[in-house]
Amino acid sequence: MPALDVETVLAEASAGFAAKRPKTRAMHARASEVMPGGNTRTVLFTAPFPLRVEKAEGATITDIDGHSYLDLLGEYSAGIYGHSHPRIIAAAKAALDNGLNYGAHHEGEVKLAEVITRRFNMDLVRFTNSGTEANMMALAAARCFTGRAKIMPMDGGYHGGTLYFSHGASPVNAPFDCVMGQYNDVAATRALIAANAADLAAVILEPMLGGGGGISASGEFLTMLREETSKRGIVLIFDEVMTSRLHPGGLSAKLGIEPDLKTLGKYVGGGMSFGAFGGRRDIMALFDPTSPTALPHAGTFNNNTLTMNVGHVAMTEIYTPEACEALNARGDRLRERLNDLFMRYQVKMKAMGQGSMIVIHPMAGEINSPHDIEHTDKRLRQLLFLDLLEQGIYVAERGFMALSLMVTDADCDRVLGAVEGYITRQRELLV
Amino acid sequence: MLHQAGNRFNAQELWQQDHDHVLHPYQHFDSFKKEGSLVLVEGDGCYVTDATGRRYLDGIGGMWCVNAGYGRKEIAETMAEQAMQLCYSNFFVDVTNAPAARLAAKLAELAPGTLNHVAYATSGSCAVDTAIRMAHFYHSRRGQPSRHYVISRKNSYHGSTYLGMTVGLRDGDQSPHFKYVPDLVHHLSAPYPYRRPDAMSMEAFSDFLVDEFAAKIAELGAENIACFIAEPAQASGGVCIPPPNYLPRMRDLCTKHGILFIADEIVTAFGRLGHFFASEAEFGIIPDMILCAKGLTSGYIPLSAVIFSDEVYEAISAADPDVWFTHGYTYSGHPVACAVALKNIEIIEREDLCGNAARVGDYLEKRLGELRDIEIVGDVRGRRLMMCVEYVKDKKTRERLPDSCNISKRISNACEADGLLVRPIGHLDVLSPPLTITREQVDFVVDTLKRAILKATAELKAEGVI
Repeated sequence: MPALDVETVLAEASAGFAAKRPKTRAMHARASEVMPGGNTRTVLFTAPFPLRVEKAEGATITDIDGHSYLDLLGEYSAGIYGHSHPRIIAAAKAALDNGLNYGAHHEGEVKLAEVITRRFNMDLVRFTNSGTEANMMALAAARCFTGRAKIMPMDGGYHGGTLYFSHGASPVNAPFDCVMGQYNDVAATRALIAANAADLAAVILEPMLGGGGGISASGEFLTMLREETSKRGIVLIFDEVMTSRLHPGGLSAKLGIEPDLKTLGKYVGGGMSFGAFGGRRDIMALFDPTSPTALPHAGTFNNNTLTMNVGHVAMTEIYTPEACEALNARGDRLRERLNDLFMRYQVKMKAMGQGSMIVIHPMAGEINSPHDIEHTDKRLRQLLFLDLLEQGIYVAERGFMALSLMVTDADCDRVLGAVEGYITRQRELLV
Repeated sequence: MLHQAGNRFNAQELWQQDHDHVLHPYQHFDSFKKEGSLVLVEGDGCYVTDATGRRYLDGIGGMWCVNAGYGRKEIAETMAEQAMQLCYSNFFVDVTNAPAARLAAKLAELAPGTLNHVAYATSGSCAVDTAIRMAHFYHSRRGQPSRHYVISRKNSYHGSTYLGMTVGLRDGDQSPHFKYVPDLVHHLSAPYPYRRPDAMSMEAFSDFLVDEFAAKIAELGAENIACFIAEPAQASGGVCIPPPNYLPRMRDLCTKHGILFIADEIVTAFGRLGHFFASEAEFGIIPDMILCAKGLTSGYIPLSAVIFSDEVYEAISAADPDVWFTHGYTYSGHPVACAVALKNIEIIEREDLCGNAARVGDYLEKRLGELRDIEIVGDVRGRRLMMCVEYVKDKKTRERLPDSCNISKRISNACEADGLLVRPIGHLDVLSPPLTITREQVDFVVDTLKRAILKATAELKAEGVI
């Protein structure tokens, strides 16, 4: 039997995917007439053409060609409640019954702010429409508070479409003056902070890189950041848009390191558009409209009744601290078993992340920074993605999974079986 | 070529051929006819792969035997070279070959005390036969032909020949459908500390066992007893580490009464407990004979050896023109097998596999200890890379679960589904992985076994058994 090569196997998988989805292919052609590449959110695009979903229920999505999948992508961590949680639907209906878009203050925003500030240890909070917006506002607040211009994101960090720092800054980034920190590199980053201290308004990072590969910041690194920023009057911002789901009080609470500001998004609004930033009273007070020097903070939908009311139900009745702990324990078990599987087959694969967020990388060895995963074979990511789709499991093409509350232990067993099937079929390419 | 098992083998065909034509050791016909066999086709390191391409961590080490791990190229090459050079030599009377001569010298160097002589056989079972025949021969040559009784113990396993099955006595081994050698073997109590009588201290238990032996000697007459045969740590009979001082005291009684002490180290020798031989290094005794097999060649080829003392050799070889030691096998001292054993010993020494077994084995003991908290786990015991978990219905009374629960098989099946092979024996699951196992692999073994036990516990609750 001739040795298999990854190009051939991938081409076959890709052709197999396309052949089974004529309607999806046609819809993609139609979409391409009106949207660039038939797409309106880059991360969702996959070759040869992306999946197109018709309906979803619980942890299952069904595409327009009638194929159903166990949804492990979990809307990149926002879809924590699954697709049809009855309590979410009831809360949404109740909110709709009271009318949309008041253009005025209401109780819903107060209730959600009370829950969030308590749970995530913030003095004051402001709502936005997305995590991106929350991060933009937090950085703006830090710059105004310190009177300094520069910010320090991490090389390889992601804080939204306009704050994307993989391989330098994205061309569509907001034009901040940036000093790039090096994730988990204590000495280099400490030196950079010291060198730029006089101009540096904020250091911003995710305590675990979510979209960046499930890479956790070391305790030593975060401790250094906390010490250096405190000492030098720099605002430390934790982007907890994804990671807040990893512990009842967010990942910072789990780590015992409190930043000055933190940002939220994704699941907190119960699956509706949501973002928030908050933290230290003295910084957040800059936005107090009763002050003559108040900073403006706009946003038509900042306090939309749907998000505020559904988010409150989601955070108090569904994603309770107990539910949060159980979900993350399930994720830890799945990750551990995936890594056991990779060890057993001695394949170059590794499951990273924490709790309910798992990222499978097609490589072995230590992964401590985005640089460590730079040269992984994208074709192998694609192959796993297509293979799992063929087996009825939907993950992100980059290997990212975020378990929803609808995912059961039996589903996890099924995932392990599917990944094992992939490995036994393709082991030659993976060792 | 490795990694292609799933594509190269016709799993169904192999399963069927086995199903239709093979009688396995200890075959259980009812389940075999339904389920057949797991078809293994490849091995490397601590792992084996089945015909469908599924890979398992082999927590059993083959059958307590693949000590150096699977897929050792240099062993395979040694086999090939020796087969080309001299595939076989007559070994009877006065012909030998280079590997057999060298290996005997090496075994004499490794074995304790004056154990400087080697009789080769081809399996552990044949080594047991050889040792008992040698014991009879020895006493007769010394003018004591009445010494014929063999003292063994319950829960022991000494092979599966007609004689071996008479000597061993594990629960269920002596099937009523087989015959056994009459008036030869007496079985003492098993040194099974977990199931010693309630409220009896370990010291008192040791006294009880030794007193029982003394009483047996008095009953039969020392002049009628040839040998005492014992696994220093009973293996498949329960992975029992005997009470402290038990073995030295049994050794003393043997010495006092002229009874040969035969240590069946077929499982324990060649590193499993962290030493080449466990008798002296682990248990403080020097037997008259040590039996080894399994780890001697790491299972790459069948070979066993009876290593015996200068004193025994002097007695059996005392001058007499009419005496022949009329025992031995066509394949005694097989050159390919002996060459493999030499290479295997070289690897164990070079890679310090005894040291690894000691270090990682201690870690396995520690981690397995975590399972003690689980409701159906009565005992976790063993030493280093020879361990087991015993399941019970009631921790306090040590009452066993009903046989119908098939508890150890149920748990081993769940482990197998998760890629781990453990060996179910009665109410135990046994672990005896290759000596090359790492701490990470131990973590996998313990985590997987734990999950399987918890799953079985939940099932038993749902079934109303516990």
